Amino acid sequence: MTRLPNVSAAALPPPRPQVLEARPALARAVGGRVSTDDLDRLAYARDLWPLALLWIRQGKIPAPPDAVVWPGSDDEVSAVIKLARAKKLAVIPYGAGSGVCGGTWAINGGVTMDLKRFDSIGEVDAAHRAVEVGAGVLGETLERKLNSKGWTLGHFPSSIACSTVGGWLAARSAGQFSSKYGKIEDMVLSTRVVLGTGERLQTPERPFSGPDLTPLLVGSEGTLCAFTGAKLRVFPNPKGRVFHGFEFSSVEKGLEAIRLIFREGLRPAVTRLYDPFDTAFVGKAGAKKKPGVPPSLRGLLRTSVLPAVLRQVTRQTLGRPSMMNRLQQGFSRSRLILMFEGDPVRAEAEDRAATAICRQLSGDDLGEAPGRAWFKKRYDVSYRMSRLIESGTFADTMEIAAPWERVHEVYERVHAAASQFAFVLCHFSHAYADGCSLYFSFIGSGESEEAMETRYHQLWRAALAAAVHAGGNVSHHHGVGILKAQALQDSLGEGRHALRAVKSVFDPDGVMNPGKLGL
Amino acid sequence: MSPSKQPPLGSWARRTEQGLVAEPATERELTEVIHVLADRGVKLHRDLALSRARLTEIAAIGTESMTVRVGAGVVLQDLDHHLEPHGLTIGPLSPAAMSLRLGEFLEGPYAGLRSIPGGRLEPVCTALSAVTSDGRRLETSRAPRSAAGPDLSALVLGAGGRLALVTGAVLRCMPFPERDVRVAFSFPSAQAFVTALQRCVAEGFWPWRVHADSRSGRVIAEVRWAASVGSVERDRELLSRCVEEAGGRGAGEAEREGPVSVEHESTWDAVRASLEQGRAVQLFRLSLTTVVARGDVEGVPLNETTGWTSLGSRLLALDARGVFGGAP
Repeated sequence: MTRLPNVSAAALPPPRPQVLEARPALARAVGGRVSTDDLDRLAYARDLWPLALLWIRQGKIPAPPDAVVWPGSDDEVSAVIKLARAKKLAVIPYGAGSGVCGGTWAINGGVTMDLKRFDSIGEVDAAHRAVEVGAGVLGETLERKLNSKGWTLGHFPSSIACSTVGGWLAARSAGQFSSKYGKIEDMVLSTRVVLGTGERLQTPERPFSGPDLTPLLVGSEGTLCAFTGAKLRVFPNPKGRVFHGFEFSSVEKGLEAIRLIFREGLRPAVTRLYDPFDTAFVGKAGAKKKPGVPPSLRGLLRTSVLPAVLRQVTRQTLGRPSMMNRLQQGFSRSRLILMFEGDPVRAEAEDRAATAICRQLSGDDLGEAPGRAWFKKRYDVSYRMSRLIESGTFADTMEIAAPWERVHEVYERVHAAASQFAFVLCHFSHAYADGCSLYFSFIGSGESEEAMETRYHQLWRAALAAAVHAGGNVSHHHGVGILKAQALQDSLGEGRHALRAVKSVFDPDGVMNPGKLGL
Repeated sequence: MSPSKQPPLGSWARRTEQGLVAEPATERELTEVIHVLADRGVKLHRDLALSRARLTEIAAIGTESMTVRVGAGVVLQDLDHHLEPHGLTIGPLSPAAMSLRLGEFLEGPYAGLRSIPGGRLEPVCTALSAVTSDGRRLETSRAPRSAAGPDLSALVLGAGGRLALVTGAVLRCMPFPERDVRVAFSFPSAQAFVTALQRCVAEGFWPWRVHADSRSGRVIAEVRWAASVGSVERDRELLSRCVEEAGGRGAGEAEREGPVSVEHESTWDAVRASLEQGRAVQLFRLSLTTVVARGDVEGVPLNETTGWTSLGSRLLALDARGVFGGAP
């Protein structure tokens, strides 16, 4: 693959004078764990927003923070925020940087606050099925620890190896098994935060009287508070797991199957329906590979020949998305993957009931193989995107949600809007009784890097506008960040004033992660 | 209230024995009420009561998503009768909750919550519309779940109308059940009863009501649930197995008449403690977190608004014009 160009830290703007002036006080606040070094600032300048990769390909760098701090206690977080208020500095809470919407970009500089030192994992309270964890705990670390004690959180985002509990809370994360276990907001019993005022707080557990503020803080993407810990619901490790794949004559029939499965009260942990073209790709995933290339040639092919060919092919094809998208009309079949887990008898019984529904809709029974194949490679997708971008294209994903009456129209309108700019795939997952999530993948190209970036922004504006116009929302689980800030504000209508009012209560000086959510 | 602060009696306000009541018929009238009160320095909940009994619209039902848009003045029991011919029901809420108007259910101590399969609590509304103290409209998305910023419905749910006034909501319904089942079990202890129920709920069992009574050192419980024929049988199998694994067994008839008392939101620990003291309880809205309980059970009373947490009280600053009357 093409190597991305080296970016020189020397190209960074120097830290702002007011931050350098505040550096001694910052050091005192966090026990000396502060840096204004260029390498640290460069490392924290971006998250996994694909736009940053396009920029890096052009030798551009997102605006870096002026300083990075690593607090280790709620008091230290509080001290940093209070200092930021006094000195009028921005504070950007940072987990593991796996966000894909620019939620941790320091667009106006300031102090990035890495919270990974909040890495405690408490003992599971078996009687109450709960565990207290620090906000900086990585998802995979938490899940492995819970598994070793016989428990699971049930939260498996594809970023599980590189995302934190705090990041999940900040962006309202969803895992691949959300249809059974819920999104992160369904798992949280209480949160520990430091508000933009610098005050330390713990939200109460039910029962209590009055409004529940946890839903206001969860999803606030660092604009209201920094999460330092949470008490989360856990479940026993599943003793049984059942996979089942079906293929339908159309995407509409597949959607109807999911809707009826949830209407019947069944709760598969996984429901993934691939649109026809995605189905064509998925269908090949399980196929046996042909005899391999001699090992001696593999290295050459991988490093030189294939990337060069790929670059040419992708530029030629993805530069003409209309042609590529028209090809999709030749496909119609739609593949559904179901997975039930938990009590083995229950999982089998629910699978039988779901199978009956799928057969009523003339779904072809593919057995367990497609589900098992997906399960084995369920975290791979995040890594494929980087390779696509390295090959000289742009790639991104958009996840939205809609009620069942609107799902197909949202699918068609977003597909049509985005098809002008990129090659479009979609699958439907994270289902509920009243609707589901639509997960679009875009792959595009352009004549030049500048043209590609222009096309990238055009695509997002068109796709989000189409989604909202057709009755969808702007995000199901990636959050908003910078990427969807304007779309969020537009979709809120007059409600945006309520959001601003909440901001003024919890972050009166506007120091917390400015520019995100449109705040 | 001083004479100068007497609000005008427009079409939306009337005098009652309890004092002045504003009774707007539309969201627009409600907005007008808020502006007039702000101009005159009159406070809702203190100087003037607000009724949304005239906001009774029940709009078209979304049969695919099983949702219905409902005005804040609709009584939930009436709504349930309206839904039945369409093959839907609002689902298993407690008796006292079903007697409330939608606005009271959402804004009051019930906070609009219900349990769903898997033992989670979620708001019965997937979207809501409300008016804030500056007279602006707040409308949340109808998407089933969202990561589009904070969930602003938190300004309405359980907030007693002190941060925003709900005018209507889109409610999640469920299929009207084909079968309604009651089965009685006997448990060796209160802990065994709690263990069995929690395990069932976590695996997807969705009971509508549980009546439990302590007799001669054992807990006798009648579990009632309703769903499709297939679902009822799957649940019966799961429930029977969970009861057996907890040391319980089938029993004959349980006491049908449960205690009728104020409903509380209670923890499972409180339920267990109550049973261990030989008391009878009736449980609704069973989740892994809390239940709605009738009987002598410790918990937050759901028939009255009690004090807010300090964090919640902080949000009263959102009512910059002081229209909503401050802390409950």
